[in-house]
Amino acid sequence: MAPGGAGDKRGKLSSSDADAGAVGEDRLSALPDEVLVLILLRLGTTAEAARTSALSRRWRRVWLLLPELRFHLAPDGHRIRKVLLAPNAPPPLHRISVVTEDSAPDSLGAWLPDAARRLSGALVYHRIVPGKEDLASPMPDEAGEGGAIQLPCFEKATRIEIDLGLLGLDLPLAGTFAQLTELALYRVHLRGPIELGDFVSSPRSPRLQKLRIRDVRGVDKLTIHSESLLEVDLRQLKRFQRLSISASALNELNLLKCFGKNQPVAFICAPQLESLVWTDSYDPSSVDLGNLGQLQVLRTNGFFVFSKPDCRYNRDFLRLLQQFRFIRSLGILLFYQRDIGNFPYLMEDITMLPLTEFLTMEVVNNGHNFGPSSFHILRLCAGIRRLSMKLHIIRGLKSACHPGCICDQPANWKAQELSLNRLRKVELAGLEGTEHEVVFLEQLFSWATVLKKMKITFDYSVSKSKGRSRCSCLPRKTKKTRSE
Amino acid sequence: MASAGSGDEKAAAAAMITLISSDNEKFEVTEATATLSQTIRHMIEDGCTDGGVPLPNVTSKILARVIEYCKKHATAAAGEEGSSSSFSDAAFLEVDRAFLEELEEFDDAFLEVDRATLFDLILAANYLDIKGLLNLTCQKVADSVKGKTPEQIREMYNIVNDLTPEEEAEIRRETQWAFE
Repeated sequence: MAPGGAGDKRGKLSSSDADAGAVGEDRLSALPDEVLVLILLRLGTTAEAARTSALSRRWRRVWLLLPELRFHLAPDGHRIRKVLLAPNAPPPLHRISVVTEDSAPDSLGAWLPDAARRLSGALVYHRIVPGKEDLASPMPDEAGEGGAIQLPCFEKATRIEIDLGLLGLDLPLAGTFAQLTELALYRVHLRGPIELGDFVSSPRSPRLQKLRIRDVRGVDKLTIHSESLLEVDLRQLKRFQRLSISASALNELNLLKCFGKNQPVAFICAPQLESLVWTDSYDPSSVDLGNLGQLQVLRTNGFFVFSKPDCRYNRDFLRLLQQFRFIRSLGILLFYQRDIGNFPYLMEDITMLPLTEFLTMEVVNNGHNFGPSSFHILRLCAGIRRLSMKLHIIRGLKSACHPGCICDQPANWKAQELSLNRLRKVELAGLEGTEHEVVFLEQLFSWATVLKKMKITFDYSVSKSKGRSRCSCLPRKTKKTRSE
Repeated sequence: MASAGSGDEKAAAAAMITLISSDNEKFEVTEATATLSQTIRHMIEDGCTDGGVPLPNVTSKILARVIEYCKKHATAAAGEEGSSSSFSDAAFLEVDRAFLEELEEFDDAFLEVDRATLFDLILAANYLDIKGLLNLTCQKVADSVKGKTPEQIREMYNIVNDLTPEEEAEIRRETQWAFE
């Protein structure tokens, strides 16, 4: 192992009391290699560990024994390759993580084949694009034309996460990722002849359990056949057209903003599916969800409370929810645009919801009165046992709500009867202590006659004293407040 | 000093293990406390703990500290199993958080020792294979050298630079990227 020999000192494991005051003794260098490696691992980056090579002969090669390599912005890919090729039979690597600003494909990919050889754990590779960290910001589609990085076959890797800041990536032509259980591809431009679906299906990724694909270009069709997949999460695949998944063990499927304005075409065969998030276009004539008899959790598109009557988000929301009679845990997002002007109130379009026990209602109210719309949802879900409600604040946006704003309509909701006579637990989060919230809370208490527990979390911008004074409207026994 | 907390009702019922330090002091601890050490766990599994477990590499002074750590963390492990926080109650559990904070405070206070004791604890934790204690003590050393230059680290830990100027120049060249 390392020259300089800690070995001769290893027998002496415990110092006598006389040593305690000894001046000048080098107890650190006397530690065995495996302990020094543990200390170096805790320095954070491999650069920091590599600097210890200049301490003395004893330390020269200790850092090369690290089972995890973490490079942050340095060195370049060719140098990383040299580190990976270090002599003296280096140990297998449990993890390699590289964060780089490099943009030259030859050095970006230079170390990957050697990493593939040594890695038997996780590969995390992020290329950051200065000034373009915001995922939502549009990126030129031409990105990635400057060449592509070749992904070699990582036969022993268990987890791979790659974010290339939209550079090109070529999937390997051949080889099995025999140990891979998690694959995440973010902001890559997939090119080359190998289709993503073939790559992640059972023959080539026989143990793959979690698949996350976000902001990936070059995937317009995805066909997956897998016996091992448990979770699939697909988000913002540009120009996506067709999804076909046949996965006998699949538990969780999330599809967010992939089809965009395209006609959604999907065939899902996942008889074990328990959780479905579909915040995307939906059309029952071209989307076949198969038998979802095990489904417990469902979340859909947001519903615009005030909007144009032909709002396609609302149309798809209604179409999807019509497919289900019972969902144990239902997630609904109500959305108020900042300026609702004179748009019509659309909640009346929701005439039925699946039977549910646990309702999660998120509201982006932009300062508007969310009482009428929330009442409408609760009336259709009167059998719930638990309610989790979260108000989202869009910071930096001033509300356009004004006295006489149409958000107060219809105003008769407070006078209507509602009995939530199974509701025992309520969680409310993101409150700001507004008048609208107080009025809603008062109503909620009058509806929920058997309520046992309520937890209120204010937004962090709310002071403790304001939070307390706002809670004074609550019945004493159920009170429980906390600032986030 | 040598007996496990007599107020602990469980102690009477639980199996006790005797640990013997290098200076021949005997410490009686519960199996739950002792098995935080993988080394001792294996000995128990192999049935070689009758008559006590001699630990010739650990002094009584250090062993007492190690046992103090193990007792605290063994209680923590038992607490975690007992609470079995279900998904539905997760949001309402604040007791666990308070307990974890208390454990963190214990760890912080535990680490307030002189450097010689810290190294003895590291060696004992390594020999006894007590993962939590080894992580804790190594983190303390790592924190002390983080952000320091080689010169500063040498001075802090009395490391003698036995590299020739040529060797040192070569190392600096090879790892130049790490110094930028």
